Amino acid sequence: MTSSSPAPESPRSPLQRFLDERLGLASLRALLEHKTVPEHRHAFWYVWGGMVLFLFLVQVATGILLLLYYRPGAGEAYESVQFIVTRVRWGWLVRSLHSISANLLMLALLVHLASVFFLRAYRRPRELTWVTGVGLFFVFITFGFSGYLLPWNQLAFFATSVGTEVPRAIPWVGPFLVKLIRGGPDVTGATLSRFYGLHVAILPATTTLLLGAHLYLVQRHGMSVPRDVEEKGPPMPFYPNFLLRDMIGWFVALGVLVTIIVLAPTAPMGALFPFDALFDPKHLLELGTKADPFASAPEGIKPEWSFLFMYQTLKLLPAKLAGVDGETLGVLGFGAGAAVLLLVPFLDRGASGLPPNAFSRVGGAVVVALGLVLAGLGTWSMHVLGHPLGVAGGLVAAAWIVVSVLLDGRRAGRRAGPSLLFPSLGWLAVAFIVVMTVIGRIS
Amino acid sequence: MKRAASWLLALGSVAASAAAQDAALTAAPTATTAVSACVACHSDPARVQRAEAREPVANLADDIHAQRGLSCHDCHGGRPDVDLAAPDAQARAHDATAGYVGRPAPADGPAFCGRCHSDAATMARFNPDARVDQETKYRTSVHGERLAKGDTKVASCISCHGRHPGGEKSAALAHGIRAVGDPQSPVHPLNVAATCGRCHGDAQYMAEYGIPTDQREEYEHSVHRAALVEKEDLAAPTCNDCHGNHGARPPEVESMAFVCGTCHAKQAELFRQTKMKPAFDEAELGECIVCHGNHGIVAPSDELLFHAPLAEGEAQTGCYTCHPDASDAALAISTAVHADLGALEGRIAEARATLADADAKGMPVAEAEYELTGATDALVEARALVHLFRHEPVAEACTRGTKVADSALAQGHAAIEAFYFRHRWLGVSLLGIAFVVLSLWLKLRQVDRRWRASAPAGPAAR
Repeated sequence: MTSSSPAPESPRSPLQRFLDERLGLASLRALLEHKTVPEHRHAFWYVWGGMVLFLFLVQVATGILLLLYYRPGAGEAYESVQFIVTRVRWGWLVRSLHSISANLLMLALLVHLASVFFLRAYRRPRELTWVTGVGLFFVFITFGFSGYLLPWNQLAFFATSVGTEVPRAIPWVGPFLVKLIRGGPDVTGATLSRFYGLHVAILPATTTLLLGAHLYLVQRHGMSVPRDVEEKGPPMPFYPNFLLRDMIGWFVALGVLVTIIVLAPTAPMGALFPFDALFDPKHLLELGTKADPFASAPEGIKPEWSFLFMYQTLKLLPAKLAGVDGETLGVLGFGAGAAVLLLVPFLDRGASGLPPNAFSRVGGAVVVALGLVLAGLGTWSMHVLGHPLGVAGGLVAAAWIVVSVLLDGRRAGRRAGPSLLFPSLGWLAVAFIVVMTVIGRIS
Repeated sequence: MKRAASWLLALGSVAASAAAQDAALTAAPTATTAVSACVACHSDPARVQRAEAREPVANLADDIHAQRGLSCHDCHGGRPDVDLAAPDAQARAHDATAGYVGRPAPADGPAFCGRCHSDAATMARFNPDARVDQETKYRTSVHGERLAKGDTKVASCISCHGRHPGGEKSAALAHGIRAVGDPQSPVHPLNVAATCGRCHGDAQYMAEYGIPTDQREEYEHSVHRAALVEKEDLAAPTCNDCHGNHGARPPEVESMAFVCGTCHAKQAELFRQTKMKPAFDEAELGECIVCHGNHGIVAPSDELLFHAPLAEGEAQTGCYTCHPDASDAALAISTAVHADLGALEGRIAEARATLADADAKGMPVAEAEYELTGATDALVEARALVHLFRHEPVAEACTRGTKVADSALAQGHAAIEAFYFRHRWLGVSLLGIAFVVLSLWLKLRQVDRRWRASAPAGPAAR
């Protein structure tokens, strides 16, 4: 994007003049009119950031409305949600919008994250834009996890019991973390209060800070154009050309949202593909029964789709790997993965045309080994499950990582062009997450 | 010679033997687990040729007494520590002076078992909560009374608690007695009907007593048996729950409502408040069983209150059995009660079906479903109030239940209406969204054309 200083304009009405004198609206208008968006063959991916923002605003609006009736507490939470969906006028719509749009938001966020990653838009000088964006990604994951418990139904209770148990595998601090998250040794009303505070105060405040920083940085640096992509022509004005594109996307998303909300409860499985294949909106819209800590866990209980790959991976890991607890290794592995994701702009120096650093060179070998191990594990687990597609997927993943790293080595040797290591790593991560999610859904 | 000597010894010590037997009868069991001479001998075919005499030891493992550490001499006395190699081993082991009692006579069976089972101090060693009134109760039972009169065909302890290796019809064997809670015990709730039916279902065996022998067959078709066997509710009644077990006897006519009221307390209490109770007593009618039957009792139906005109050869049931005259005022009550119950049941069924339909449409109706349980409770209460034989209390309960069912029904209809409203709303919303998207797209084409026409050629700097 390019931007220049706004040209002052004469307000057209007394009211506009009044507001302009006090709020500086003319500058804002000028900013909008001069903001541009690059036009090239990958420009489609730019709309996904706006899509995430739109769905987030839906979350904020519906979340505030839910707050008017929701009562936190083990004795009241379930009943208040039941009241919202049965007695409050349009309450069913508000709750459904909040629940389904949260899932669509995660989908849009993943597309946005992946597009920025694969277009390598994080390269200098947008490293901090990436960091704030990944920070927002982690915040939204926490939003989803904390919000899932708030209806205090049976499924949420047991899913949270399982989910909050995971950090226990972290050496030394695990038990303390579990107690900190739950507000005690078990999931109780104290956990609900804690998650409520997290969901409506701590996370929104964090989001405001990170989103403000993210949008400021986007505005400051503009949209990134991939190094090897030629622009079609002059940049497109943000207002109204790109905003209109954004708005078309938002209204389409709104249509998808209301269609899922109304049709999902009675739609046969597959009718809302791909949504019901991924996150089962029918199950999301059902309130189910109130949480009962003394009841047995619902049969076949699984975490929500966005956590399914982690759950499935931990499930498939052997009890001991090289003498270390398998679950501990898994949790530490995911932690390391999150750290790598956050630090990608600083590790992938090739994206900015800089010579490869130690991570790219030495770490490349480790990544290859890890990739092969993961591909092997995926192949093995799918073979155990008797799914030939999984075996093929594992082999393709292994071949891909080997070929791409060999290419990366050649390019890194010439110190020319962007390193292929990170896209390969990204594709491997995507393949791994998709395969594990699919296994988690079908097993 | 040895045999004669043994007899002489036994005769010579008859006084001592009587005293020793008394001592054995009152002595507490020793509860030992050591293999006694009795077990060693009675398990050895070389020493004991008769298979019948080896049977006690063969079945000792299943026996609750053996499992509690008791052995032969704890019941039969004698000397369990004799040297089997000694020539007079059998005589010493079976020495009456040492309290030896062989197979007790049938008439002595209850006292034989009662030595321990009637002794609270002894039983407390094995089960502090054990009952010790079985023998006392047995003496009051029809079985006990007849046994006292010398009828040895009647049931005593072993008849019911013993083992029947040849099936239901085979003779009882005293050893291998299982704990009452053991599903293989003949007195486990699931097996009681078969155990009682062994004698009471045998027309030839029971011929001299002049009582029916179809009780078990009737019971097999009863609602009580269905609850016990099919629903696996071990609290459901079987023979002993109504007749008693050790004190078994048929309930008296006046006490029938008390017997049934042990479980059906509400109905029995209501019945006792009515003028029917003294009338039944006076007419020597068996209260509950007049309408509901006894062994073959089936699930009560509202049809007991009202019966459509009978088909040729069909027997009268329920109220019509005693009130066959259509002009009888009692029938007006039963007809009105029947109509009220039917109306409430129909309304509940309609509400339930409507809520199920709404639920299938994905509408949240859990609250209404819960509310509907209030109507079901009212129906249950109204059916219990039938035992007052008055219309007003039933009508009051039915009115209360109908209000609840109507409320649930209305919620069900509202949910279904809301379902269709949502679909209409979706259609309108999608039309509106489509219109907005189309408008935006047309506007976009316009502004894009304007922009492309005015934009300078060439890409901007990155």
